[in-house]
Amino acid sequence: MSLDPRLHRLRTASARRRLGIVAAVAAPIVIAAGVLAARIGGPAAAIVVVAIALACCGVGAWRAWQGIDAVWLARRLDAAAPQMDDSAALLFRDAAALSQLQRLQRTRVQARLAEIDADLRPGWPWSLVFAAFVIAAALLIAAALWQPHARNIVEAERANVKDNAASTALTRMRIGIAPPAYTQLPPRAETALDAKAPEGSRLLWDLRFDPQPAAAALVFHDGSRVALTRDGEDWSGARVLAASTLYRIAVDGAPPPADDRLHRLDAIADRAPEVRVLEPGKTLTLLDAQQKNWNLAFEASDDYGIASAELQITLAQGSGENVRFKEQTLALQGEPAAAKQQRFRHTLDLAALGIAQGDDVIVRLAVSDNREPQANTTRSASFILRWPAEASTDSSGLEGIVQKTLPAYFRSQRQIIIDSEALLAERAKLDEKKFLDRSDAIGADQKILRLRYGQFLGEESETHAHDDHDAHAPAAAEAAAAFGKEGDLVAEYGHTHDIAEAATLLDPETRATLKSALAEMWQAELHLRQGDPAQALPYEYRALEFVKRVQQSTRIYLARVGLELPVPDETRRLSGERKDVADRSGTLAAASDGDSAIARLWKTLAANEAPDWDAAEAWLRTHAASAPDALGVFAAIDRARRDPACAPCRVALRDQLWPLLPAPSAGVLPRAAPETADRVYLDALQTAEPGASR
Amino acid sequence: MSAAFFVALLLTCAVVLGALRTWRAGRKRPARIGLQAAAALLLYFCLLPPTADEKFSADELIVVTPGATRAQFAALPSAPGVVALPGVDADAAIERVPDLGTALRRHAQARRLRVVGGGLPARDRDAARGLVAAFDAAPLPRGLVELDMPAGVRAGSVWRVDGRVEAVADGRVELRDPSGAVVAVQALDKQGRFALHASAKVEGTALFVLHVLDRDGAQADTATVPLSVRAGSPLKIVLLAGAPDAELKYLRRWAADAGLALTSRIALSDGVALTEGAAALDDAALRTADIAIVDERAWAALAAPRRQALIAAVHDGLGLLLRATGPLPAPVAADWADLGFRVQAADAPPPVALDRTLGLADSGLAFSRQALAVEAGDAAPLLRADDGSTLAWLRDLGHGRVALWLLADSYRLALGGAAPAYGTLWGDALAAVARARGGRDPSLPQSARVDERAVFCGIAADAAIGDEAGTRLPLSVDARGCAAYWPATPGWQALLGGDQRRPFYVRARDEAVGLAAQDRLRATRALLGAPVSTAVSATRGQPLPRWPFFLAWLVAAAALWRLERGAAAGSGGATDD
Repeated sequence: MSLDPRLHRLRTASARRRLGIVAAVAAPIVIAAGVLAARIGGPAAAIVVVAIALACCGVGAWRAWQGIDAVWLARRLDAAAPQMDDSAALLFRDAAALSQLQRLQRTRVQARLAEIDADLRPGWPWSLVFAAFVIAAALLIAAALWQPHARNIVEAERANVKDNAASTALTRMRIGIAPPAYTQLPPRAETALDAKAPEGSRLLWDLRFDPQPAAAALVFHDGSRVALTRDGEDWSGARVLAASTLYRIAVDGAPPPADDRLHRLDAIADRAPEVRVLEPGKTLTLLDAQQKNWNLAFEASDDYGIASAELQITLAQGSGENVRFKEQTLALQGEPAAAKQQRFRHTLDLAALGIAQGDDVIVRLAVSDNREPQANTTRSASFILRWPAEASTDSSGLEGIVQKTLPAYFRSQRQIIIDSEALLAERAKLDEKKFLDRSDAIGADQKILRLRYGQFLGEESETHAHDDHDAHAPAAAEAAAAFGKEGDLVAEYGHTHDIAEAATLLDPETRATLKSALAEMWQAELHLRQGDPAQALPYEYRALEFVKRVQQSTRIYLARVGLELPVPDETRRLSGERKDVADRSGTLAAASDGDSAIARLWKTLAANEAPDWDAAEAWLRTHAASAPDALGVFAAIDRARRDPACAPCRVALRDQLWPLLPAPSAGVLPRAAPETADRVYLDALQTAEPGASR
Repeated sequence: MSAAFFVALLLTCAVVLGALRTWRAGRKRPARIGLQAAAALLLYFCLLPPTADEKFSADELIVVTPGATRAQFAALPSAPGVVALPGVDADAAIERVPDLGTALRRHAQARRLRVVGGGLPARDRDAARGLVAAFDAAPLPRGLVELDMPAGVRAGSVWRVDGRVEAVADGRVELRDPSGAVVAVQALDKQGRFALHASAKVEGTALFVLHVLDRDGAQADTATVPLSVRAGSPLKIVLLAGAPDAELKYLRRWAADAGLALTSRIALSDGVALTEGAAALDDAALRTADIAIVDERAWAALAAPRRQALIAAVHDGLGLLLRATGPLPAPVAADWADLGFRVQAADAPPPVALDRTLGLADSGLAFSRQALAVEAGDAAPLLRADDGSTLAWLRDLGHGRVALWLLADSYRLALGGAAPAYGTLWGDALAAVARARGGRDPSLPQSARVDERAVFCGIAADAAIGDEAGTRLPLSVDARGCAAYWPATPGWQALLGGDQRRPFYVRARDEAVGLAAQDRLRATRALLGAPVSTAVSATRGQPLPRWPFFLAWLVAAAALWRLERGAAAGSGGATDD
């Protein structure tokens, strides 16, 4: 059924007008609603509101478009043009289906249609458009008057706090953290009361309270206080963070703070620099004949930067009794400068150092960071460059246990000779008494030297005289207090009567030589003590000669620390005498760590009883060093202690206590006793058994 | 029948009328009439499908339980005799029953049950007892499905938790202590099994957590491992030894630390000894002691009457641990043979490991066994090495027990840093041998869960349940000393009886659901058995599906339409002609 093109045009024009009306009415309202939504609920709300409004408009527009149908058009035509004879509807009907009369009327109307120039479009509903604009204006005014939400939160909170007058609220909390200058970290601020900061940082609290207290302070876990000073509404205080700690805010003249748990400040320790040696690759390098230089390369890194690096060079010259040391230090510049990780290179000019055959050059690098007040210093291992001496013949196969250099105290026999000769030279100037004193002093030196040599022959030294025995008792009492020094046991309880091992360490020939030296020293001492250094001199010289002989020929063995058993009573040994020999009884003492305060706390927490908080805290204070997170446990104890009704706090504390609990020795639970019936049955079985076997 | 008859009548009439009309005009009349008849018949079958005879067991009831899978639903017959328990997510065609008892009342003929799905809940198990003939189990959920751990652990001892994880290939399990530190890790084996060891601390309750991690380290499942630690009992030990040795040193040290009452006499020389505790080892001391530990040298040194007194005390309940420290002198061997252990000298055996026995992860510790061959007759093994060789035997003697101990150097454990394992080894051994004087523990529910029935047995009439808040709920104990309890809140609760407090843990409803699923599965499998009645097989008509008839009817109708159009065109043409 095709429509007359004129009719179609009329229809389209009307429909467009209607859409225009919908748009004109809806647009201001949609825009204003969007603005209001954005003001109240933010962009998301605006998007949602506008989307819903647009959907509504779409529906309205669709209905408006649909409303312009044949019936509507026919009515409008009839109303607008009297010449249509109220028969416009015929134009929209199928000509074939019409009766004869209708068909006639239709042709008449169709012919008139051409003459009609009617505007069928609906008029603009100006009042409706005006109303829409009024509504939109009202919405926009509402939006303009709307208070921003954010300000309301603070006000509501403040009102809330005022209602809840039993506690002081912190309306502002800020901790300014100024790390030490050397860390080169920028200052920053935390808005929480817990903070982590580099060790040595200066912390500046900036707090506001509501209601205003008369005084406020920060109370630290170690008992110290930082009083806060008031400036208008702000309270501020400062402290340098030396170590991790806990603190709490205490207010005076106001209710206690709402959040009065312990806050935690963690100090991030400045680590010591790390030094890696790149060159040389091993600790002992043997010098090539052609080598002129020695190349050294180190790498060092630190968490905040390296302040300085020093190369310590030691030249050890000579051998045996005659080693001289020459030390020098050299500041090295790292690359790249001022970086956290630097490389150090240095080339040692061996000729300038003056190294000769048999000498050692020992180097090590000491790196310091710029920690204040005391820098962390790390030293590398020592690296030795050795120009090997001429091969010695007598140490093959015994490297491990043979000590080729002599101990330092083998040096001074020569000194005694020098002293004696000097004394003799000055004899004329000295009076008798003074001469005797000095001679005696040299004799004392000679005695010390003799005793030292005597040790190597297994003699008991007289200088730790026998009163030493009594000295052990107080030492033992003190030792009980210090735990973990088991290594010192021998030093504390024992003393060397006699190094039995040392007596067998030397070969017989050396022993004989050393013995002769000792005999000479005895004589020398005798004469020195008698004030006759001139007579002592030959003995001294002979002693020196023997010592030199020992030095040239001998191997010195180091004594090991061994077990020292009680001295047997020689008078009863192997005599068969059993008097006073009795049972030894009651030597076992049970370990009692199963009942520490912390274990008791752990148990009482589970049983919902009132724990002994003070004992637990005291225990923790003494064991803080061995606890993995003592501060965390302190904080958990404090929280549970302040709020006894807080079950999760108790559970959390219990979980934190677990690593601190002692591990007792495993106990025994005996098997269950048989009940009467079982016992009777067992007895019957056993009495029946012989009968059955028969 | 009336409806079928009516439909048949109607269709017959239609076919007859159609045939008459067709016969009058058009082409291919026989084909059209035949097709009309066929279409009518197919329509009839589509409306009222014919039935096929099917064999079925008339007395079987199929019970669909929660957890049934889609495949299991698809395999269900559509006949009556299928019921679904609450919690089953099935289509409405299956009959719903509130519980199994109701289902059995409604289906009075049912004598056999076929259970499909996750298994019967505890509520229905009693009703199903003796009736379950088949169980078509649903697969278990992914994650932890088995968890075994001791109900009570001795303070300081090494305890073990083992279990199985379902459907996590190449995964591993981590045991974390209450502070969150990992104390044991193990990779799952092929079957998903694991066994972790940890040591207990002081008396009390603690919650460990077991994490199941998959191949990529993502958490697949997690479960709480409740640990209830009990203090040990101060056992009275009498220790007689012929000479001090390292073994005795550590044994005495452990006994003292573990709070055992130790009376020891270790001979040093003729008439001189290292003693501990009460000096006199007379009959009275033996009567009150729980266990005597004697080595062959001390045995040889005992006077005959003392030996007789010792054996008499064993008959009276004392435990006796014979410690062989070397070859036995003939009289001692004869005495010990009388006690049930024939001991002969043998070649030195290779060192043995105890890692698996004691739960040490590859400690590398090797232990030596005395070079003795033991013929132990009726004795039971008390301690086995990892390689299966027996290191200690145990047998009853009167009211007491006698054990023979060949492990020479258990002190290596204490020296090697495994002090808890050392204490556990000796604690277990002494507990097995010592005088039976422990109380009988009530049986606590192993896996109590919120709103599920937990059963306690062996309890006194005044027993009650106490929770963490301190409330006390008396139990209604029956004549057998059992009582049931439905916990309402998760967490630790305790059975209170007399002055005893025995904690047990109640899991939340949604925690470790795999464990509950496995419990149901196992309990239902346990119910499986040949029911009293034998299967009654009968036949019944099972309607055939309608859709093939409908399709066939559609084809017939389409063909008919085609033919009729052709006929109409033909007849039209004919009239035109």
